[in-house]
Amino acid sequence: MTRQILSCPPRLQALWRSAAVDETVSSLRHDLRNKLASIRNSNFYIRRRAEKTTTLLKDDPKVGEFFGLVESELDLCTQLLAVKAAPSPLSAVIVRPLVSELIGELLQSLQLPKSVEVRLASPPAAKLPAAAVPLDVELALFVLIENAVEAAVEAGGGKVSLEERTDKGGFWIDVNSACEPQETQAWLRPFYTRKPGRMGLGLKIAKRLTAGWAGKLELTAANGTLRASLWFPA
Amino acid sequence: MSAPAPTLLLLDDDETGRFVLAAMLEDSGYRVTEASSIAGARALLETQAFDVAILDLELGDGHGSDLIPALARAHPHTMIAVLSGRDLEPIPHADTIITKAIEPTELLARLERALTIKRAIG
Repeated sequence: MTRQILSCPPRLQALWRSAAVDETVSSLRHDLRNKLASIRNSNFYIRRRAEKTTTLLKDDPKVGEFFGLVESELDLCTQLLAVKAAPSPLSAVIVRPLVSELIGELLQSLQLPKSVEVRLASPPAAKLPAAAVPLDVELALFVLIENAVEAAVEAGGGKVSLEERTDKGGFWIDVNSACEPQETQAWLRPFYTRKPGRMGLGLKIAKRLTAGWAGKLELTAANGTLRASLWFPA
Repeated sequence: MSAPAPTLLLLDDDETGRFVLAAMLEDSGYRVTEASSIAGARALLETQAFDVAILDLELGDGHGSDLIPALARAHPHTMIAVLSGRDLEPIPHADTIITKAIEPTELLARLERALTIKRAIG
Protein backbone atom coordinates (compact mmCIF):
# COMPACT_ATOMS: atom_id res chain seq x y z
CA MET A 1 0.00 0.00 0.00
CA THR A 2 2.82 2.36 0.91
CA ARG A 3 4.43 1.76 -2.48
CA GLN A 4 1.11 2.45 -4.16
CA ILE A 5 0.65 5.67 -2.22
CA LEU A 6 4.15 6.85 -3.00
CA SER A 7 3.61 6.21 -6.70
CA CYS A 8 0.88 8.83 -6.94
CA PRO A 9 1.37 12.59 -7.19
CA PRO A 10 2.23 14.10 -3.78
CA ARG A 11 -0.97 16.17 -3.69
CA LEU A 12 -3.00 12.90 -3.67
CA GLN A 13 -1.01 10.97 -1.09
CA ALA A 14 -2.67 12.30 2.06
CA LEU A 15 -6.09 11.80 0.52
CA TRP A 16 -5.21 8.21 -0.39
CA ARG A 17 -4.13 7.46 3.19
CA SER A 18 -7.31 9.02 4.53
CA ALA A 19 -9.47 7.12 2.01
CA ALA A 20 -7.73 3.83 2.90
CA VAL A 21 -8.52 4.40 6.57
CA ASP A 22 -12.15 5.28 5.72
CA GLU A 23 -12.51 2.12 3.65
CA THR A 24 -10.92 -0.07 6.32
CA VAL A 25 -13.20 1.38 9.01
CA SER A 26 -16.21 0.89 6.76
CA SER A 27 -15.31 -2.77 6.20
CA LEU A 28 -14.78 -3.33 9.91
CA ARG A 29 -18.11 -1.65 10.62
CA HIS A 30 -19.80 -3.94 8.10
CA ASP A 31 -18.19 -7.10 9.52
CA LEU A 32 -19.01 -6.12 13.10
CA ARG A 33 -22.63 -5.45 12.20
CA ASN A 34 -22.83 -8.97 10.76
CA LYS A 35 -21.47 -10.45 13.99
CA LEU A 36 -23.72 -8.31 16.16
CA ALA A 37 -26.72 -9.36 14.10
CA SER A 38 -25.94 -13.02 14.77
CA ILE A 39 -25.56 -12.41 18.51
CA ARG A 40 -28.73 -10.31 18.67
CA ASN A 41 -30.82 -12.79 16.70
CA SER A 42 -29.46 -15.71 18.76
CA ASN A 43 -30.32 -13.90 21.99
CA PHE A 44 -33.82 -13.18 20.71
CA TYR A 45 -34.34 -16.79 19.58
CA ILE A 46 -33.11 -18.35 22.84
CA ARG A 47 -35.21 -15.98 24.95
CA ARG A 48 -38.34 -16.62 22.94
CA ARG A 49 -37.85 -20.38 23.00
CA ALA A 50 -37.23 -20.24 26.74
CA GLU A 51 -40.46 -18.26 27.21
CA LYS A 52 -42.45 -20.61 25.01
CA THR A 53 -41.16 -23.97 26.16
CA THR A 54 -39.81 -23.59 29.70
CA THR A 55 -40.47 -21.87 33.00
CA LEU A 56 -36.82 -20.77 33.22
CA LEU A 57 -37.52 -17.06 33.13
CA LYS A 58 -40.13 -17.37 35.89
CA ASP A 59 -37.99 -19.67 38.00
CA ASP A 60 -34.90 -17.47 37.83
CA PRO A 61 -35.57 -13.76 37.19
CA LYS A 62 -31.85 -13.19 36.66
CA VAL A 63 -32.05 -15.12 33.38
CA GLY A 64 -34.43 -12.49 31.99
CA GLU A 65 -32.16 -9.76 33.30
CA PHE A 66 -29.21 -11.30 31.49
CA PHE A 67 -31.14 -11.46 28.23
CA GLY A 68 -31.95 -7.78 28.71
CA LEU A 69 -28.32 -7.02 29.53
CA VAL A 70 -27.10 -8.64 26.30
CA GLU A 71 -29.68 -6.64 24.35
CA SER A 72 -28.74 -3.31 25.94
CA GLU A 73 -25.02 -3.94 25.39
CA LEU A 74 -25.76 -4.72 21.75
CA ASP A 75 -27.69 -1.46 21.48
CA LEU A 76 -24.63 0.40 22.74
CA CYS A 77 -22.36 -1.41 20.25
CA THR A 78 -24.75 -0.57 17.41
CA GLN A 79 -24.78 3.08 18.44
CA LEU A 80 -20.98 3.13 18.53
CA LEU A 81 -20.87 1.67 15.04
CA ALA A 82 -23.24 4.35 13.81
CA VAL A 83 -20.87 7.16 14.83
CA LYS A 84 -19.24 8.54 11.73
CA ALA A 85 -16.28 10.82 11.43
CA ALA A 86 -16.71 14.28 9.96
CA PRO A 87 -15.97 14.49 6.23
CA SER A 88 -12.34 15.00 5.45
CA PRO A 89 -11.45 18.61 4.55
CA LEU A 90 -9.23 17.08 1.88
CA SER A 91 -12.34 16.45 -0.21
CA ALA A 92 -12.50 20.11 -1.19
CA VAL A 93 -12.71 20.83 -4.89
CA ILE A 94 -9.40 21.74 -6.46
CA VAL A 95 -9.41 23.02 -10.00
CA ARG A 96 -7.42 20.79 -12.29
CA PRO A 97 -6.75 20.94 -16.03
CA LEU A 98 -8.69 19.09 -18.68
CA VAL A 99 -9.29 15.44 -17.86
CA SER A 100 -7.08 14.30 -20.74
CA GLU A 101 -4.25 16.52 -19.60
CA LEU A 102 -4.75 15.29 -16.08
CA ILE A 103 -4.46 11.68 -17.24
CA GLY A 104 -1.16 12.49 -18.92
CA GLU A 105 0.09 14.03 -15.72
CA LEU A 106 -0.96 11.02 -13.63
CA LEU A 107 0.76 8.67 -16.06
CA GLN A 108 4.01 10.55 -15.67
CA SER A 109 4.02 9.98 -11.93
CA LEU A 110 3.64 6.22 -12.43
CA GLN A 111 7.02 5.78 -14.14
CA LEU A 112 5.66 3.26 -16.63
CA PRO A 113 7.75 0.19 -17.41
CA LYS A 114 8.76 -0.19 -21.06
CA SER A 115 6.70 -3.38 -21.37
CA VAL A 116 3.49 -1.42 -20.89
CA GLU A 117 2.07 0.89 -23.49
CA VAL A 118 -0.59 3.37 -22.47
CA ARG A 119 -2.72 4.88 -25.18
CA LEU A 120 -4.97 7.85 -24.56
CA ALA A 121 -7.75 7.79 -27.11
CA SER A 122 -9.80 10.92 -27.04
CA PRO A 123 -11.61 11.51 -30.33
CA PRO A 124 -12.46 15.18 -30.94
CA ALA A 125 -16.20 14.44 -30.87
CA ALA A 126 -15.96 13.06 -27.38
CA LYS A 127 -13.56 15.68 -26.10
CA LEU A 128 -14.73 16.68 -22.71
CA PRO A 129 -15.22 20.27 -21.74
CA ALA A 130 -12.75 21.92 -19.44
CA ALA A 131 -13.86 21.14 -15.96
CA ALA A 132 -12.84 21.43 -12.38
CA VAL A 133 -11.84 17.94 -11.31
CA PRO A 134 -12.16 17.41 -7.57
CA LEU A 135 -9.12 16.00 -5.83
CA ASP A 136 -10.90 12.81 -4.86
CA VAL A 137 -12.06 12.20 -8.44
CA GLU A 138 -8.46 12.64 -9.45
CA LEU A 139 -7.45 9.97 -6.94
CA ALA A 140 -10.20 7.62 -8.18
CA LEU A 141 -8.88 8.03 -11.70
CA PHE A 142 -5.30 7.49 -10.61
CA VAL A 143 -6.28 4.26 -8.79
CA LEU A 144 -7.92 2.92 -11.95
CA ILE A 145 -4.92 3.74 -14.10
CA GLU A 146 -2.48 2.33 -11.55
CA ASN A 147 -4.48 -0.91 -11.31
CA ALA A 148 -4.63 -1.26 -15.08
CA VAL A 149 -0.89 -0.71 -15.42
CA GLU A 150 -0.17 -3.24 -12.66
CA ALA A 151 -2.40 -5.78 -14.41
CA ALA A 152 -0.51 -5.21 -17.65
CA VAL A 153 2.85 -5.59 -15.88
CA GLU A 154 1.63 -8.79 -14.25
CA ALA A 155 0.61 -10.12 -17.65
CA GLY A 156 4.18 -9.55 -18.86
CA GLY A 157 3.41 -6.31 -20.64
CA GLY A 158 0.66 -5.07 -22.86
CA LYS A 159 -1.59 -2.17 -23.63
CA VAL A 160 -3.68 -0.01 -21.41
CA SER A 161 -6.10 2.27 -23.19
CA LEU A 162 -7.87 5.26 -21.79
CA GLU A 163 -10.93 6.79 -23.40
CA GLU A 164 -13.24 9.66 -22.72
CA ARG A 165 -16.82 9.62 -23.95
CA THR A 166 -20.15 11.24 -23.24
CA ASP A 167 -23.26 9.14 -22.70
CA LYS A 168 -26.22 8.67 -20.34
CA GLY A 169 -26.35 12.30 -19.33
CA GLY A 170 -22.77 12.48 -18.22
CA PHE A 171 -19.21 11.74 -19.15
CA TRP A 172 -17.23 8.56 -18.89
CA ILE A 173 -13.58 7.78 -18.50
CA ASP A 174 -12.79 4.19 -19.46
CA VAL A 175 -9.62 2.39 -18.48
CA ASN A 176 -9.12 -0.87 -20.36
CA SER A 177 -6.61 -3.57 -19.49
CA ALA A 178 -6.09 -7.32 -19.83
CA CYS A 179 -7.80 -9.27 -17.06
CA GLU A 180 -9.38 -12.62 -16.29
CA PRO A 181 -13.13 -11.95 -16.75
CA GLN A 182 -14.25 -14.09 -13.79
CA GLU A 183 -12.54 -11.69 -11.43
CA THR A 184 -14.71 -8.71 -12.28
CA GLN A 185 -16.87 -8.70 -9.16
CA ALA A 186 -14.13 -9.95 -6.85
CA TRP A 187 -12.11 -6.82 -7.55
CA LEU A 188 -14.77 -4.72 -5.87
CA ARG A 189 -14.54 -6.68 -2.62
CA PRO A 190 -12.50 -4.95 0.08
CA PHE A 191 -9.09 -6.50 0.75
CA TYR A 192 -9.22 -8.59 -2.42
CA THR A 193 -5.87 -8.66 -4.18
CA ARG A 194 -3.65 -11.15 -5.96
CA LYS A 195 -0.62 -8.96 -5.63
CA PRO A 196 1.79 -9.23 -2.70
CA GLY A 197 2.35 -6.08 -0.71
CA ARG A 198 -1.00 -4.53 -1.59
CA MET A 199 -4.15 -4.17 0.48
CA GLY A 200 -6.82 -4.65 -2.17
CA LEU A 201 -8.63 -1.43 -1.36
CA GLY A 202 -7.96 0.59 -4.50
CA LEU A 203 -11.17 -0.04 -6.43
CA LYS A 204 -13.33 0.16 -3.31
CA ILE A 205 -11.74 3.53 -2.58
CA ALA A 206 -12.30 4.66 -6.17
CA LYS A 207 -15.95 3.60 -5.97
CA ARG A 208 -16.51 5.43 -2.69
CA LEU A 209 -14.81 8.61 -3.90
CA THR A 210 -16.76 8.59 -7.15
CA ALA A 211 -20.07 8.06 -5.36
CA GLY A 212 -19.28 11.15 -3.30
CA TRP A 213 -19.64 13.16 -6.53
CA ALA A 214 -22.87 11.44 -7.61
CA GLY A 215 -20.82 9.35 -10.00
CA LYS A 216 -20.34 5.62 -10.30
CA LEU A 217 -17.68 3.05 -11.03
CA GLU A 218 -18.55 0.19 -13.36
CA LEU A 219 -16.47 -2.87 -14.16
CA THR A 220 -17.21 -4.87 -17.26
CA ALA A 221 -15.25 -7.73 -18.75
CA ALA A 222 -15.25 -9.07 -22.29
CA ASN A 223 -12.77 -10.97 -24.45
CA GLY A 224 -10.09 -10.97 -21.77
CA THR A 225 -10.28 -7.22 -21.23
CA LEU A 226 -11.44 -5.51 -18.08
CA ARG A 227 -12.97 -2.09 -18.53
CA ALA A 228 -13.13 0.11 -15.45
CA SER A 229 -15.36 3.09 -16.14
CA LEU A 230 -15.94 6.21 -14.12
CA TRP A 231 -19.16 8.07 -14.87
CA PHE A 232 -20.04 11.54 -13.68
CA PRO A 233 -23.21 13.52 -14.30
CA ALA A 234 -22.73 16.35 -16.75
CA MET B 1 -58.48 -22.30 8.43
CA SER B 2 -55.30 -20.32 8.98
CA ALA B 3 -53.26 -18.97 6.05
CA PRO B 4 -50.34 -21.14 4.91
CA ALA B 5 -46.93 -20.19 6.26
CA PRO B 6 -45.22 -17.66 3.98
CA THR B 7 -42.32 -19.10 2.03
CA LEU B 8 -39.04 -17.22 2.28
CA LEU B 9 -35.78 -17.34 0.39
CA LEU B 10 -32.82 -16.29 2.51
CA LEU B 11 -29.66 -15.42 0.57
CA ASP B 12 -26.58 -14.79 2.70
CA ASP B 13 -23.07 -16.19 2.39
CA ASP B 14 -22.33 -15.73 6.08
CA GLU B 15 -23.08 -19.21 7.38
CA THR B 16 -23.54 -18.29 11.03
CA GLY B 17 -25.71 -15.26 10.28
CA ARG B 18 -27.84 -17.26 7.87
CA PHE B 19 -28.25 -20.17 10.31
CA VAL B 20 -29.36 -17.90 13.15
CA LEU B 21 -31.67 -15.73 11.05
CA ALA B 22 -33.26 -18.79 9.43
CA ALA B 23 -33.94 -20.31 12.86
CA MET B 24 -35.49 -17.05 14.06
CA LEU B 25 -37.65 -16.69 10.96
CA GLU B 26 -38.82 -20.31 11.10
CA ASP B 27 -39.72 -19.84 14.75
CA SER B 28 -41.75 -16.82 13.61
CA GLY B 29 -43.78 -18.86 11.15
CA TYR B 30 -41.88 -18.60 7.85
CA ARG B 31 -40.89 -21.60 5.74
CA VAL B 32 -37.27 -20.77 4.99
CA THR B 33 -35.11 -21.96 2.10
CA GLU B 34 -31.47 -20.97 2.33
CA ALA B 35 -29.00 -20.02 -0.40
CA SER B 36 -25.37 -19.08 0.13
CA SER B 37 -24.64 -17.68 -3.33
CA ILE B 38 -26.29 -15.79 -6.17
CA ALA B 39 -25.91 -18.85 -8.38
CA GLY B 40 -27.66 -20.99 -5.77
CA ALA B 41 -30.47 -18.45 -5.41
CA ARG B 42 -30.93 -18.22 -9.18
CA ALA B 43 -31.22 -22.01 -9.40
CA LEU B 44 -33.88 -22.03 -6.68
CA LEU B 45 -35.82 -19.19 -8.30
CA GLU B 46 -35.98 -21.08 -11.58
CA THR B 47 -38.10 -23.78 -9.97
CA GLN B 48 -39.82 -22.10 -7.04
CA ALA B 49 -41.68 -18.93 -6.18
CA PHE B 50 -41.36 -17.39 -2.74
CA ASP B 51 -43.56 -14.98 -0.82
CA VAL B 52 -40.49 -13.24 0.53
CA ALA B 53 -36.87 -12.99 -0.58
CA ILE B 54 -34.27 -11.63 1.83
CA LEU B 55 -31.09 -10.79 -0.05
CA ASP B 56 -27.74 -9.98 1.44
CA LEU B 57 -25.77 -7.65 -0.81
CA GLU B 58 -22.08 -8.41 -0.58
CA LEU B 59 -21.70 -12.02 -1.65
CA GLY B 60 -18.78 -14.10 -2.81
CA ASP B 61 -20.05 -14.42 -6.37
CA GLY B 62 -21.48 -10.95 -6.88
CA HIS B 63 -23.85 -8.35 -5.51
CA GLY B 64 -27.24 -9.45 -4.18
CA SER B 65 -28.92 -6.50 -5.91
CA ASP B 66 -27.96 -8.08 -9.27
CA LEU B 67 -30.75 -10.60 -8.64
CA ILE B 68 -33.44 -8.01 -8.04
CA PRO B 69 -34.46 -6.99 -11.60
CA ALA B 70 -34.84 -10.61 -12.78
CA LEU B 71 -36.55 -11.59 -9.53
CA ALA B 72 -39.00 -8.69 -9.78
CA ARG B 73 -39.77 -9.59 -13.42
CA ALA B 74 -40.15 -13.35 -12.93
CA HIS B 75 -41.84 -13.22 -9.53
CA PRO B 76 -43.67 -9.90 -9.21
CA HIS B 77 -45.56 -11.11 -6.13
CA THR B 78 -42.40 -11.82 -4.16
CA MET B 79 -41.70 -9.24 -1.49
CA ILE B 80 -38.03 -8.32 -1.78
CA ALA B 81 -36.10 -7.32 1.33
CA VAL B 82 -32.48 -6.26 1.08
CA LEU B 83 -30.27 -7.06 4.03
CA SER B 84 -27.10 -5.09 4.47
CA GLY B 85 -24.39 -4.31 6.95
CA ARG B 86 -24.15 -0.81 5.47
CA ASP B 87 -26.56 2.13 5.42
CA LEU B 88 -28.18 2.17 2.02
CA GLU B 89 -30.17 4.41 -0.24
CA PRO B 90 -33.44 2.95 -1.60
CA ILE B 91 -32.89 0.25 -4.23
CA PRO B 92 -35.26 -0.01 -7.22
CA HIS B 93 -37.76 -2.90 -6.89
CA ALA B 94 -36.70 -3.63 -3.29
CA ASP B 95 -39.75 -3.43 -1.01
CA THR B 96 -37.74 -2.83 2.13
CA ILE B 97 -34.15 -2.42 3.23
CA ILE B 98 -33.07 -3.94 6.52
CA THR B 99 -29.85 -2.99 8.21
CA LYS B 100 -28.12 -5.89 9.90
CA ALA B 101 -28.15 -5.87 13.70
CA ILE B 102 -31.63 -4.33 13.64
CA GLU B 103 -33.80 -5.21 16.63
CA PRO B 104 -35.34 -8.65 15.81
CA THR B 105 -38.88 -7.56 16.71
CA GLU B 106 -38.44 -4.59 14.37
CA LEU B 107 -37.09 -6.85 11.62
CA LEU B 108 -40.08 -9.21 11.93
CA ALA B 109 -42.51 -6.29 12.01
CA ARG B 110 -40.93 -4.74 8.90
CA LEU B 111 -41.14 -8.03 7.02
CA GLU B 112 -44.76 -8.55 8.02
CA ARG B 113 -45.71 -4.98 7.09
CA ALA B 114 -44.00 -5.17 3.71
CA LEU B 115 -45.52 -8.58 3.01
CA THR B 116 -49.00 -7.30 3.89
CA ILE B 117 -48.61 -4.30 1.57
CA LYS B 118 -47.23 -6.48 -1.23
CA ARG B 119 -50.14 -8.88 -0.92
CA ALA B 120 -52.64 -6.03 -0.82
CA ILE B 121 -51.36 -4.42 -4.01
CA GLY B 122 -50.20 -7.61 -5.70
